[in-house]
Amino acid sequence: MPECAGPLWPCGLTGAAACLSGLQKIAVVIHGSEGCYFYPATTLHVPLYCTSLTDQDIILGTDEALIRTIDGIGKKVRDMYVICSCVPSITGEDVRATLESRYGENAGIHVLDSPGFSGEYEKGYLAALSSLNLRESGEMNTCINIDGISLMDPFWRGNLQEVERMIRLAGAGVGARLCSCNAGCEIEIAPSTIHANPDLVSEKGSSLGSLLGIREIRKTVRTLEDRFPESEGVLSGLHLPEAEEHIVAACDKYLRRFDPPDVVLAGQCASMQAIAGMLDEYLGAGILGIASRNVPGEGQYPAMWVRDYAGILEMLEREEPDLVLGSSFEQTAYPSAAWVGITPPLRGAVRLHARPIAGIEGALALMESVLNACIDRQKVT
Amino acid sequence: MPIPRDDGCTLTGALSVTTEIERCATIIHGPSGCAHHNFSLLHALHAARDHITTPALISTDMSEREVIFGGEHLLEEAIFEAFSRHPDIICVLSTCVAATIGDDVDALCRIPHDIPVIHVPTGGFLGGGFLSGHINALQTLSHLAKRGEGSLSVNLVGEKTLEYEVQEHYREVSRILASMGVPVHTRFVCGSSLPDIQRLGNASLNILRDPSMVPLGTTLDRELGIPFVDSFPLGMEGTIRFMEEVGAALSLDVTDAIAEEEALQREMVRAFSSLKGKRIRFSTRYAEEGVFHPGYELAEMLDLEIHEHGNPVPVPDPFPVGTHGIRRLLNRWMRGCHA
Repeated sequence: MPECAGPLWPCGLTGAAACLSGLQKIAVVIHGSEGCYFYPATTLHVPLYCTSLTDQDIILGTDEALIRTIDGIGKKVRDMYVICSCVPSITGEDVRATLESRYGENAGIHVLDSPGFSGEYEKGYLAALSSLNLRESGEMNTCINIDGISLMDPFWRGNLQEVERMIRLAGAGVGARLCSCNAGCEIEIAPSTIHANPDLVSEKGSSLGSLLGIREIRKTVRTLEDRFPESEGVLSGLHLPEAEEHIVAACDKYLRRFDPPDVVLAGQCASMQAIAGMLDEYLGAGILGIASRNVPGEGQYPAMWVRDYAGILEMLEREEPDLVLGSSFEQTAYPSAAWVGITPPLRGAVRLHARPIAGIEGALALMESVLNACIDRQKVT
Repeated sequence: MPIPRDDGCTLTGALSVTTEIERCATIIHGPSGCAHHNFSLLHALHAARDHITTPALISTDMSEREVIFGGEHLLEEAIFEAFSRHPDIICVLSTCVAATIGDDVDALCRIPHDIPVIHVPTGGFLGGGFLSGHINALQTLSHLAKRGEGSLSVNLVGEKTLEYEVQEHYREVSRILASMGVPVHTRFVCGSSLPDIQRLGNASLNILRDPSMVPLGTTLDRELGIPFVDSFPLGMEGTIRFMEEVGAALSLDVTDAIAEEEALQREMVRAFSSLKGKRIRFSTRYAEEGVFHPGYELAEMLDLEIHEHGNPVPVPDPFPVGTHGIRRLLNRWMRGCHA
């Protein structure tokens, strides 16, 4: 059946908006209906603009709505990105030509086609990222870029702070923050990049690895310290072993009373593989499966592409996990399991502080949440 | 305006109605992204209101292929899939994409089925904004109702189902109605079933959520012969006026009920007497839009000074319902004055 009962993941338009709206000198214009604007505007919590197309615009052409919107924004920002939603992409108007004839070629107004029907969130995010002018700068040789930051991710602020902290502890400077920085569409980047989210890898700068999950952190820290030996291995010699020691002690204490949980993880595939590895290694958790929001790549643990609520419900009822890591959809679908929220949307709860999921503190925070959720469930059952 | 209204498109408006109906399957004919946006938003609002269910939405999951070759076959399959879930009613909503490529959604819904399969005319921007979708869905569903006997009861029509305090507003209007001896017959459509909607015509009066629902109220008056009051009770005087209007419409003597409500209001004003003399200010946005009148009424009643450098206090739009709604608002004003 082609239909999708309760789709779980946003479209490419939202992905593109999530990427570009993290750059503070870019005004993001959604060229489409207010419906296409409403969702990214309410989930990204940054100002977005919209051409608010109507049926009249479709009949007579969308030029006027586009120009009215851009004129309304004026010169408040350096660059502007027009993201074309489904309908302008279908009607096939030459938006670029319209903008060039009105504002000239060098007005700093860029156009990105990201119709929702052509792909999902990651595709839109990465297409937007690759459309930016990212230039390597010789002055940033001692810096490391951070990628995989998306305003859609409930952990983006915490991840950014934690990855910055680790880069500085390694004796390096922080290069480009992709994408949350005070920049327009031309960004100077360092020659190397660390990934806060392995599902949103920019392929800009040579990869030093990901910081999601202790196993990946260990590898990435080793590469980082080879590159910056003057830090004298403070991360690998002190911070990482200390964190591991805490995790091992807490997991060991849990296992003195309880069996390891059987787990289903729901989220972006590479990220879930990294987190599953940590649960397996430290808690001896049985990984029943990964319900991947994006097209699953290779990995140690079984993963299948689950796009809708009916699919996740079926998987959870079939696997009967003790613990579910995912979004509030999974929490609602299978309330008898312990639940830890790691995937958007995380609804029905107040979230204020910048909690990480990546880096050493992210690993600690995640294991802390997992153990507390499992212990709370044991109290109830 | 480059920054549009913050209430979504026609589709969201219609979904705010159809997802409230018990045992209703809603099909969204379009790309899965449109359905996800709404599924996620509705899930958020349900979670905020402690609902443990998710909205029953099916997307036809249109891709580039259907954009080129048409997507009616997907809709047929989705209707078939919806039937397999044994709903009482199926509502089919179209999206901008389906409307732009010209899929004939209406024709597919007109094929006779064992249960009602209703096409709610939406189409993202092609059908208007959120309110149009909301009203279109209610208008379409109202055709399922028949004229009834007109018992002493009222329907609540067009509640803003996505409102965070929708249940509190319902409880308050029910309390006020109960004080006059008037029960609520049907909430059109918060938590209603298909039979509830079909029996809509058995009430004697429709109470509209706000004046934006007047076109619907007029339709229901014409089709079912039920007159309407155009708004829930707003503000102190507004609450009393509401009671008078309901009493008049139903030929009831509501003198005692009004006296009790006025006593409750006096008691409430006394409870917030510590606010007396405080300087407050309302948001400019509300002042510009002219929706601040109940706020001024409250300020006068509590002897508050409205001053440009006063403590900022909220004047929500829509304004809280009834006397208890005002009490909750005044608690927030207290916080605004003390923070």
